[in-house]
Amino acid sequence: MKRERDTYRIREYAVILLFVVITVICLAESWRILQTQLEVNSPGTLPMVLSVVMAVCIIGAFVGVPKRLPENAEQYESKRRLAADAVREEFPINVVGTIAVTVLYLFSLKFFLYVPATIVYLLLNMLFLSRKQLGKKRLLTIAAVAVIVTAFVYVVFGILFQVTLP
Amino acid sequence: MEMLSNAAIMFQQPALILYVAAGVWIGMYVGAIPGLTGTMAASLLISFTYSWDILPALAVMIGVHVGCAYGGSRAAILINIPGAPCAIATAFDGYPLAKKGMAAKAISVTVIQSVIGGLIACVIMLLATPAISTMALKFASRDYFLMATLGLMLVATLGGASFSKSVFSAALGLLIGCVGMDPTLGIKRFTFGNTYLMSGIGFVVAMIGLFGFAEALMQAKDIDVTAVVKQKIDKLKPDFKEVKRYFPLTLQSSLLGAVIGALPGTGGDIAALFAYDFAKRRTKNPEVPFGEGAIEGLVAPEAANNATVPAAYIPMLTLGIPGDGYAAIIIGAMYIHGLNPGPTLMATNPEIVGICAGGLVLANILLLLAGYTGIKTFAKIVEIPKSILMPIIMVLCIIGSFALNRSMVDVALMVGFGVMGYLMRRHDFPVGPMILGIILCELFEWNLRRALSLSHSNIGEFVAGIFSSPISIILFLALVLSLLAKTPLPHRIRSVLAGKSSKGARANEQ
Repeated sequence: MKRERDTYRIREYAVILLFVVITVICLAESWRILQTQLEVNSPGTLPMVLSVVMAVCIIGAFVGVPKRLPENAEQYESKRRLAADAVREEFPINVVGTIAVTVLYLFSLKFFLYVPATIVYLLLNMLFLSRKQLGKKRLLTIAAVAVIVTAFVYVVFGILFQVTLP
Repeated sequence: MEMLSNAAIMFQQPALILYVAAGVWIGMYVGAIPGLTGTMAASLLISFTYSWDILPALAVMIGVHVGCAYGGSRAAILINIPGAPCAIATAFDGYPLAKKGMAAKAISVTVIQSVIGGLIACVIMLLATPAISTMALKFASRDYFLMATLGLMLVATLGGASFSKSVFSAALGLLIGCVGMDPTLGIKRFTFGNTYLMSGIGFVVAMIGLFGFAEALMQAKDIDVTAVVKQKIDKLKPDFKEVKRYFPLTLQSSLLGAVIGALPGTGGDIAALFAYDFAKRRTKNPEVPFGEGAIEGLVAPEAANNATVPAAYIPMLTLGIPGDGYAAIIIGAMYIHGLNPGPTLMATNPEIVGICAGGLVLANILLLLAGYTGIKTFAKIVEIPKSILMPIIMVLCIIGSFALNRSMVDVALMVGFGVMGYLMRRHDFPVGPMILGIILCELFEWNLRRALSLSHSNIGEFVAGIFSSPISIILFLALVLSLLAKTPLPHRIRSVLAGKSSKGARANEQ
């Protein structure tokens, strides 16, 4: 928790930078749209106004980042270590792993049917998130839940509610 | 009278009663499980109910809304972790009561108070909605535009997050709503050559990502943190003598909850905390001190947070502005079913207001039954580890976003919105204004451009028009006040007034 506070500013600036990039793209695109019809009541007016509002607000958010670190903050001598810690705290292994498994699942749906792909996805994701508490009982629970949930979703949504499954 | 007969529709069809009951039951458990939120459940529900008829879809969503508002209190009492933000205040006295072996009494009080609070707010909703609707029918395009701006501003300013970050989110939401073909001239906007984006980004996809998938990622991040402390509970029994005794506090808290709930951007959490504070000030000599298991500390927040639910439907149905995040999703569901929540709803589909009110009354009555039963099953469900629950939520998010258009692009967009929502939540960029921006974009732009056309594309004439109509003037002043409230000005005025009054008091003493 303490380290998370130490790297707060760098993470906050990184996210603001991401939104600055989005704002710049919006400004450029809004300008292009505005050029198609240069008048007050044109398709580009609202996007342009909104992009400018976003630009002003993101500057406000930048100015609002606390300039001082907490008093007991760790002093980083290596900038690389600071950046590495910031990335680790912004995207902890649980989050990165979950996103990675989900992306794999989405790709697997192109090649496999819903039922096997979902059982494997649930198994992998649950095993990954439970890796610190894995025991025989938990393993059995995970296997059972993966199968039951997949079957339940298939029957209730796919058959009963006629929802198209991937 | 007509509204009452419309409200009775919900009670006349057994299938609708079952849908509401199922919704209440699901909502109660979703609200109780820490990490699962009502908005997350609603964003998933909308993707599964979009092909249903409007009445069953509304019945389930209303049931879930009422169930969620109550459900959070159970986890707050039993494990000291509020299942939903609106149950934070309930944990202050609920958990101490449970530790004394009085969990059953605490749960019993919360059930009955939630139901009474909800029913009082239903009456307020039935009385206020037609009056506000009649006024809203006189709205011109300019007023719709001002109303949408005001709604966005209120959601952005009342949420408590940084003003600049909130407005940024709202503006980004509106821009996302602009993606696709321009509605009047067919000019491509923000499509970047992608044919898929020409039809725009569906707000349901954004909703599932920002509320559902992002929440699951947030929970995955803190998966090892939660510690569950189990409590033993006996049979639940309602105590009507106690209900009578605390009724004045129930009534006051419900009214407070209804007023706060009707303000766009607020919600059950703010109402419950306000009511708790109010009860603390009002109760001079509680039998048990507040924070150690005071019954008043349960009565006030529970009555208030459930009263916010029907109240949130007042601005949603009459003005098209949601009272809370859940109401924003119901607006989306109504749009999908071809309804237009807002001033014209009373003219085009007047029955919907009565049906919503009937659904809310029915959901509160059913909550009374659901709240007093299934306590052992409940204890088991609350204990499901997040590491098992979150992957299931993610699968539902993926299926829900795919089901809309049978498109994997939607699923990819949903995951993208999920990661974006995760980053936004981590850095206090509220996602509520963004969702509202996406939903309101069409209403916002259409009316702005119509009002500009009527003003001959002349900004001066457009501004002058605002000062020519009383409704526009009121909306404009409300907008200015909501902006001024975020500046240091009110603070300065208050400190100047406080300074003057203390000087006056000193002069009187001398």
